[in-house]
Amino acid sequence: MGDRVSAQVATVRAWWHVKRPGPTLGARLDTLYTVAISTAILGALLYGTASAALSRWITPDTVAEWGPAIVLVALAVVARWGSWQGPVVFAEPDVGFLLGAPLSRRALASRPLARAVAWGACGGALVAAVTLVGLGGRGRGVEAFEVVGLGLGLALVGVLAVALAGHVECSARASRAAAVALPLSVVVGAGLVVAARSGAQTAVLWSGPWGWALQPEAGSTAAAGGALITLAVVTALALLSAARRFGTCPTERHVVRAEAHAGARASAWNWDARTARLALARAGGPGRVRAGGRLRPPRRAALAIAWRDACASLRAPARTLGAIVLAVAAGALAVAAAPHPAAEPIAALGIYVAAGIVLEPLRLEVDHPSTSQILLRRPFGRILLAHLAVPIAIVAVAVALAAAGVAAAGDLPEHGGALAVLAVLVVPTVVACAALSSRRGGRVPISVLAAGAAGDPTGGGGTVIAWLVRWPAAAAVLGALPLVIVAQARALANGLPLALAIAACAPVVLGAVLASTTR
Amino acid sequence: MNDPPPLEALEVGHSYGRLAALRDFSLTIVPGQCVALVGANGSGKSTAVRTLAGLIEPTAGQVRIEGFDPHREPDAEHARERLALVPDNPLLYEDLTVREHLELVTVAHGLAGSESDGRIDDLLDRLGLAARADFHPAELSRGMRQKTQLACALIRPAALLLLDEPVVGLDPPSQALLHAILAERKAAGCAVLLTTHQLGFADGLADRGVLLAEGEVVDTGRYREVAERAAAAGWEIA
Repeated sequence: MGDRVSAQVATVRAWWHVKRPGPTLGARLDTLYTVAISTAILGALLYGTASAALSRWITPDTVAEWGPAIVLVALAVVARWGSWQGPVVFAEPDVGFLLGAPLSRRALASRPLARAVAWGACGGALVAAVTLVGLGGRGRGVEAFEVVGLGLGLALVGVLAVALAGHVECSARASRAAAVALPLSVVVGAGLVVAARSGAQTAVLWSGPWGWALQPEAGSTAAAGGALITLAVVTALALLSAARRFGTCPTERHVVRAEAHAGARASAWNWDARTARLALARAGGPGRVRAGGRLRPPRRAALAIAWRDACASLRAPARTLGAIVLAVAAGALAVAAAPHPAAEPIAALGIYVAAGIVLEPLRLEVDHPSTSQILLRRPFGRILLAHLAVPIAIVAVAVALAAAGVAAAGDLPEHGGALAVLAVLVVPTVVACAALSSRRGGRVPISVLAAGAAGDPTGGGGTVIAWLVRWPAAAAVLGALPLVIVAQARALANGLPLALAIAACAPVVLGAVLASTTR
Repeated sequence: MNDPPPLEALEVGHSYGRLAALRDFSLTIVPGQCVALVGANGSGKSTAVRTLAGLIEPTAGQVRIEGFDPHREPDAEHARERLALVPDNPLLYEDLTVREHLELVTVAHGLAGSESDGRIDDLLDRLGLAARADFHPAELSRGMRQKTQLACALIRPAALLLLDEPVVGLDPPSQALLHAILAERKAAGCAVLLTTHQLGFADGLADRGVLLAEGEVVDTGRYREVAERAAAAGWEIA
């Protein structure tokens, strides 16, 4: 029976090949040759620069200390990708025609899975190549065993990651597990780094596939052989299991991925990143409803949007926590590293990204402006303005905590007190910039594309990039300026009034622009 | 001086490019009156409702909701306070539960108070949504989302209730319930404008009927008479 349905799949493939022949062998070889020759030329040109730059960061010590943690998180990230897409995504018509026919699902999935496995192995090998370039720099050199071992180890990890993503793609339970595994991998990864630095390096390298793959570089030769064999066996078992799972994967999971893929692709062609992201997110399902923790609604109408945003923040704790962590890091950078000229713009951009994460309710408002017109009373611009309150509160508290932490650690630079206060005061400016960026929606307007095509010497790329970076750049400048003025001032009294004036005026102006938004 | 009517539309028109979806549409609805807007697909019913509700700008004519223009701020804020809309395609926030939608509407319209929880519970119970109160829109069926949208419109007082194809997606018992609720609202003095393909649904509810074809009013009068003429022209009174 199994042979018969597999033969049917082969017949369908043969028919398909006749009707829609793929590229010829010559064309494929031509592509391969072009890629190889380009890589060789660019590699030869860039090797010296890349080696010098990478060798500062990638050393035998850093690979042993940070490598397992990074590989672990990468495994979790690729596995999580299976929640939205995964290694086997059929085209929409294929779902109706092929999956609806009495054909072996496993056989149908085999080729896309094999392609994904090849990509996974190539990705792993590429990471190994970059790592080896760094390791071999500064005259350190690498042995042939390390080259082969690390390349093989990371290629196997790439395949293992694809196999895990396949499991996640086929199972709702595995999908939920992957959602938990990602943040958990960051925590465990941090633990691995601490353990490796504390002298438990051997235990870390044997703790799982994330360590086994790095044994050829960080461990002994004898241990590396055993680790690689173990890794190969585990990878083969995971891959076989994933291939078997595709034989019983529910059609619904293929349908939502096919629709998400088609939607995301169409949106990408329309330069609409937001819709593309939403299309992919829908494939991950509606998510679990968190029971309890309901906020009592306020009585004052003016607080309606703030209450609604607070509910949304509680409903998505991972999103809120991510924004807080990012804002804490940016706040600490803004205060502790103030003497460095690049610190403030980078910190402002960190706060901007954190604000962008918690501004999701505002984006939903922009996605469907008619919803607020039907359910709410206030003008659209005022509603958007009201959406700033909760993100400002969350980010400002996080930055204040970071500043307090820096102060408690005794790392405050000169004018540290003023810098700490200013770091909190610039939050409304940066959040307003993030809101104005979100107000545009995810789609690059036709007018921008047309203007770029007409008068842009870069062929339109420059205009589009300028449109994309307008508000992040505004956040970097307006958010950093007050801090830079104070950090670079010899006497606090010279810079503080101007810095305070900018921090006070900028959000008022930006808020007025936001409030003037019409549907 | 007479109070302005809940709805007054004067020679309203709307075009999508070269397609005139609505032309010379005039209509006045007084308190406690129900008007049914009927017509085939593409006749302009939804365009009419969306224009009257302020969702799309008229390309001609003017609309007043108790004297307020729903297309111009700050008038529009007063208009939104007075009208409640149930669109043909439910428009809800994906990140709020059914209950939170109702709470948001009560807070945003200044109606939150000690008794609002009870009102929300009663309405959820009546519409059969109580068991789904903590669900998000994405977890609900089309009919349940439609009921949630309806609940958002009914939880607050409104001088004018606009319903675009309210029975689409509703099962027969829910249609009967909606009929009863609209009859109550009408009896309480609320003006109602609804669009429907199902002439039978508006029977006993609508006082007046307006038949649209190709964006133009082709018949108007007492609902029963308009429905009978429409039936004679091939419409089925379900």
